[in-house]
Amino acid sequence: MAENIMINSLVPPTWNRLKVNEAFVELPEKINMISQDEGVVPADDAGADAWNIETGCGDELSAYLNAQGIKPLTAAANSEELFVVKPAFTADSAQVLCFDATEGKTLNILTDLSSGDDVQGTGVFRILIRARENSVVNLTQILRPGKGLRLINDIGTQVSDKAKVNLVQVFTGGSDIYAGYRSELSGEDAFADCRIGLVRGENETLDMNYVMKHLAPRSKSEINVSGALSNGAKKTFRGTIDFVRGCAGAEGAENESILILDDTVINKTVPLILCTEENVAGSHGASIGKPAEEMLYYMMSRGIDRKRALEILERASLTAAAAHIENADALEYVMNIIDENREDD
Amino acid sequence: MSQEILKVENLCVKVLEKDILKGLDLTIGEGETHVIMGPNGAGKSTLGNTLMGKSEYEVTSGNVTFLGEDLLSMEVHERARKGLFMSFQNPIEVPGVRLSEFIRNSCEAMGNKMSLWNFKKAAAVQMKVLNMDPAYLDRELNVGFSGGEKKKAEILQLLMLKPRLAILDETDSGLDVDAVRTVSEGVKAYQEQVGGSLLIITHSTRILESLSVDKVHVVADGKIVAEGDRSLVDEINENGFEKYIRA
Amino acid sequence: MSEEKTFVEDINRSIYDVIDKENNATRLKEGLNEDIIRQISDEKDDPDWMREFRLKCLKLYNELQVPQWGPGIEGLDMDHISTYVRPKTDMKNTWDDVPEDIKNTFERLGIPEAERASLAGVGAQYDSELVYHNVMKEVEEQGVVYTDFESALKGEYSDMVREHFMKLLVPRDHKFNALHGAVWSGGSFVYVPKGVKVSIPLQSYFRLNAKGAGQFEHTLIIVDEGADLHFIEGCSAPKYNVANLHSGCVELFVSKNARLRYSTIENWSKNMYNLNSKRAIVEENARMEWVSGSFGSHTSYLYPSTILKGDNSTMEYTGITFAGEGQDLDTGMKVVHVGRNTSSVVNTKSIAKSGGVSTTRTSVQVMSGAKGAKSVVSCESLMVDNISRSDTIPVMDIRTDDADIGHEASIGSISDDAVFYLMSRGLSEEDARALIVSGFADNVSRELPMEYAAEMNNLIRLEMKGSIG
Repeated sequence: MAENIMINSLVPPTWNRLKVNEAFVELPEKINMISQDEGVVPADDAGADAWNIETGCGDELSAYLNAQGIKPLTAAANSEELFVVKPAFTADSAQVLCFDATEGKTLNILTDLSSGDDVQGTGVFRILIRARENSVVNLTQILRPGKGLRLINDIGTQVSDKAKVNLVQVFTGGSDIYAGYRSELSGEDAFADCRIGLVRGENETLDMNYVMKHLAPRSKSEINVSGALSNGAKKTFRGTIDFVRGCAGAEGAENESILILDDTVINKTVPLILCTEENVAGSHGASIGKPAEEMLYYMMSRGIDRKRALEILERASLTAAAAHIENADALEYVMNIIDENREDD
Repeated sequence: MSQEILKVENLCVKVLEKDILKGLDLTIGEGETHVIMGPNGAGKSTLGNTLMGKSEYEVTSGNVTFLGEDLLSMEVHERARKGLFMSFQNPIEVPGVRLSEFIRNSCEAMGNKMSLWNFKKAAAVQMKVLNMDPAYLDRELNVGFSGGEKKKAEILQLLMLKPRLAILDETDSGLDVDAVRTVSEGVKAYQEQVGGSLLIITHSTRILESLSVDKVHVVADGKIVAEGDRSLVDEINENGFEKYIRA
Repeated sequence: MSEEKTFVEDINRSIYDVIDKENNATRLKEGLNEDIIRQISDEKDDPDWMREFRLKCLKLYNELQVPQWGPGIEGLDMDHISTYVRPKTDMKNTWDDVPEDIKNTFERLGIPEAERASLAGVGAQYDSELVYHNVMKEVEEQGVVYTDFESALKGEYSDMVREHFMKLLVPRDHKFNALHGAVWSGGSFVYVPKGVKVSIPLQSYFRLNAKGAGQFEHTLIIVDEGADLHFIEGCSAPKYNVANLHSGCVELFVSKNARLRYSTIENWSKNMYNLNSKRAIVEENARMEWVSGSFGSHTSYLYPSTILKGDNSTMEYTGITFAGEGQDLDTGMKVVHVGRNTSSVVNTKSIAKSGGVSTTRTSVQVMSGAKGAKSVVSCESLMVDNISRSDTIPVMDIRTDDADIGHEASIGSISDDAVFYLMSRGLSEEDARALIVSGFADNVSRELPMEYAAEMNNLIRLEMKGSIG
C-alpha cells in the first residue's frame, strides 16, 4: 500500500487555511535503491549513525527510507575535481549520498537529476554533507526530471568552524518537485549559501522547505531565490532563519524575487525569522509580481519586444543563480543545459 | 538643411497629471548634433522619455515625425527598431542577464544577427574606444556597475546598435573628468562611424567640449525659449539660465 | 512619583491595578452551557433571532478545536471563566449618574477628562455592560449614531444590526468567534451616514474589573458612502492571579469612497488572555486604516484583517507590540486583495524583552482577479536581551501576474555604537537604550493621537528601566 507521509513542515506553523504548514506526498509501497554510481561506496555500517543529519524534508522521509532499506552511500570525492552524480532513476527509486569534507578540503559536486520521459514513478534523492573545519563544499544541482518522474530532493548539512557550504540549484521544467534543505551551522563562522533559480510551468508543483539553523557565534547564511512562474505552476517556498540562543554575531538573509507571468499560477512565500539571541542580524526581502515596467521599458528601448524581453527575464532567473557556481566545469555543465532549453539557439 | 530625421511640433506632455511640456517644437536633420539645455525641472528628460515612449508620459497634443513616420503611434521597441536610441540617465539593473546577451539580443532584434564569435569581435573593437575591459560582457547587465561603468555600457550599446538618432539623457552627469572624456570619445566615434544624429540633453557643458555642435536649444518651463549655435553654450556657461527663467 | 493620569496608558501601573470591590447585581455561574446562554438572553431581553443565534454558536463552540498554531492557552480554563457579569447600574449619559466606585475607576483612567478635551463621543464598558455613553450634540445632529450594542439591537437600527452582525466574523471561523457569538455582551454600534465626516474621534473604553471573568463586547461600525470616521478603542483590567479572558469582535464596514481609521491601545493586565477578532471589508475607492498598539495581556492572538473588496480600495496597517516578562503576544494582520488596483501598506514593529515572546504573524493574499494589486509589508523586530524570543511568520499567496508585492522583514538589536554615541553626549546607558527603543517605535507613535503617543513613549521608557545587566 502506498504511504502518505508529511514532509517540508513549517516550524512553527501558521494559519491552516493558507495550506503552507506542510506537504503530503504519497510514496510507493516499495522503492528501489539506485545502483551505485562510479566512485560511490556504501557507508560502513559502523558509520551509519554518523550520518544521522536532519534534512529539510524531515523525519518521516528518513523513517520511510530506513524502512525501505535504502542505505547511505559515501562518495569518494577526494579531490577538487568536479564529482558528477547522475542517478539513473527508474520507476520508484531512491538514493542517499553522504559526503564528508575533511578538514581544510574543498569538494566540488554536481548532481544532474533528470530522467527520460518513459520513466514513471517517484524518485527520492538525498544528500547528507558534513563540512568539517575550514572545508568548502560546492554543491551544484540541476533538477529537471522528465514528465513522469515526481522528484523529492532532500539535503541535510552540518557545517563546522569556518567551513562553507555553497549550494546552487537550478530548477527547470519537468514534473512535480519537493525540495528540502537544512543546514545546521554548528561551528563558529560557519557559512551556508543557497542560490536558487527556478522556471516552472505546465501545472507543475514545486514545494520547498529551506532551514538555516544558526547554533554558533558569527555563523552566516544566505538564501537567494529568483524565479519565473507561468501556466498553472504552483510554488510554495518556505525559508526559515532560526537564530538559536548562543549564536551571537550571526547573520542571516533571505531574498526572493519571483516573476509571475500569467494569472494561472499560485505563488506562496513563507519566509520565517525566528530569534532567541540578541546580537544577530536577520533580514528578508521579497518582490513578487510582474516585471518592473522600468526594466521592460529599458529592454524595449533597445528594440527587444515585450515577449522576447519576458523570455530573457525568465531565463535570467536561472542564470542569476548559476552565476554563483564557483567551479568552472560545473558552471559550463549548467549553462549548457540552460542554453539547451532556449528555443532559438 | 539635410534630410529631416525628427520633427517635433507643438508637443504637450503630462506626467502624473502635471503639465511638463507645453508646446515644444524641434527639428533635427540627418547627421546633426543638437543640444538641449535648461534648468532642472524644465522638462528636458521628459522630452527624451516621451520620444522613446515611456508609458507614464502622456502626450496631450502635438505631433512627432521620425523618418517620415508618426513616432507617437509606435511601441517602444518599434521606435528602437526604426532607429531611435536613448542613453538612460540611470540604466536599470537586470540581474541574470549578461551584458553580451542583452546587446546580442538587441542587435538581433534590429535585424543584425551575429554569431557569438563575430559579436565578441565587434564588441571588443568598440570597447577599446571606451577603454572598457571585454570581461564586462560577461557581467550581469548594470548589476554592481559604478556610475561611470553604466554610462560606458550605454555608449557601447549606442556604438553596437548604430541608430539613426541617439538621445543622450544627462550622460555626463555624476561622472569624473576622465569618464566624461571617455564617454565623449565614444560619442565622437558614433558621429564619425555612423554619421547619425544626436540630441544631447544636458545641464552642464563638459561633454560638449570635444564634440561638434550644430544647434543649441534652451528649454524652460516646457518650451524652447532660446536657440542658437555653439556660442549659446558659452553664454550659458557664463551667465547661467537666470534670464530664461525670468523670461 | 505623583500619580500621572492618562487616557488609556499610564506609567504608573497602580492606576490600572486598583481593584474595585465586585458589587454586581448579576454574576452568572462559571462555565458554559445552554442554561447559562439562555440566562444571558433573558437578562438582556434578546430578540428571538439572537436567542437562537447564541445557542447555535454554543453548539459550534463545543465542536470546534482550539487553534493548533499559536501560543499555548492551557492556562485558560473555560469551565471557570464567568461569561457574564452585570454591574449594578444601568447605562448613564452623564458621569454624575454613574455609581461612585465605577466613576472613580474611569476618572483614574482619565476617560471623562479626555472626553472633555478631545473626543466627540465616549462609551465606557465596565465588565459586561456599558455604564456610560454620550455623544457630542453636534455629531448627533449630523445623524451619526453611536450607541451601546443592546440598544442598537432593539432600536431604530435593529434591521441594519441584524443584517451585519457576525457576517464578517462568522462564528464558524474559529472557536473563539463561536464563543463570542454565544456569550457576547456590550460593545458599541456606530453608523455614520452618507457623506458625513466626523472630525473628532469617537472612543470606546473597555474595563474588565471582575475576577475570573470574560469580556465579550461587540463593536459594529458602518461608515456609509463618502463618510469619514476615526474610532479609538482602549482596554485595561486590574491584575488578578486568576486568568481573565477577552474575546471581543470588531466588524467594520467601509462603504464606497468612505474612510475609517481604527486605533487601539491595548493594555490589559498580564493575566489576560486576549483572543480578539477584528475584520474590515472595504468597498470601492474606500480606505481602511488600522493603528494598533499591544502592550498588555498574558497571551494575545490579534490579527486585524481587511478584505479589499472594491476596486481602488486601500488599507494601511501600523502596529507595535511590546512583549515583556511572562507575555506571549502573537500579533499581526491579514489582508485579502480582491478588487482591482487595491493597495495595502503594512508596518509592524515588535520588541521582546525580559523573557517575553513576540510573534509577528501576517498574511497577504492576492486573488487571481485582483489586477494591479500593490502591497508593501515591512516587519521590524528588536531584541533587547537574549532571554526573550521574537519570531516573524509572514505568508504571501499571490495569484495574479499584474501585482507588485514587496515584503521586508528584519531583526536586530540595539547597536552598541548608537548607545556609545548617545552616552558620549551625556545620556545614561539606560536612557540611551530607552531613547533608541522609542526611536524604533517612532513611526507608530506618529500615527497615534498625540496624547497616546506621549503615553506610549512613557510606557516604553518605563519598560526599559532596569533592563540593563
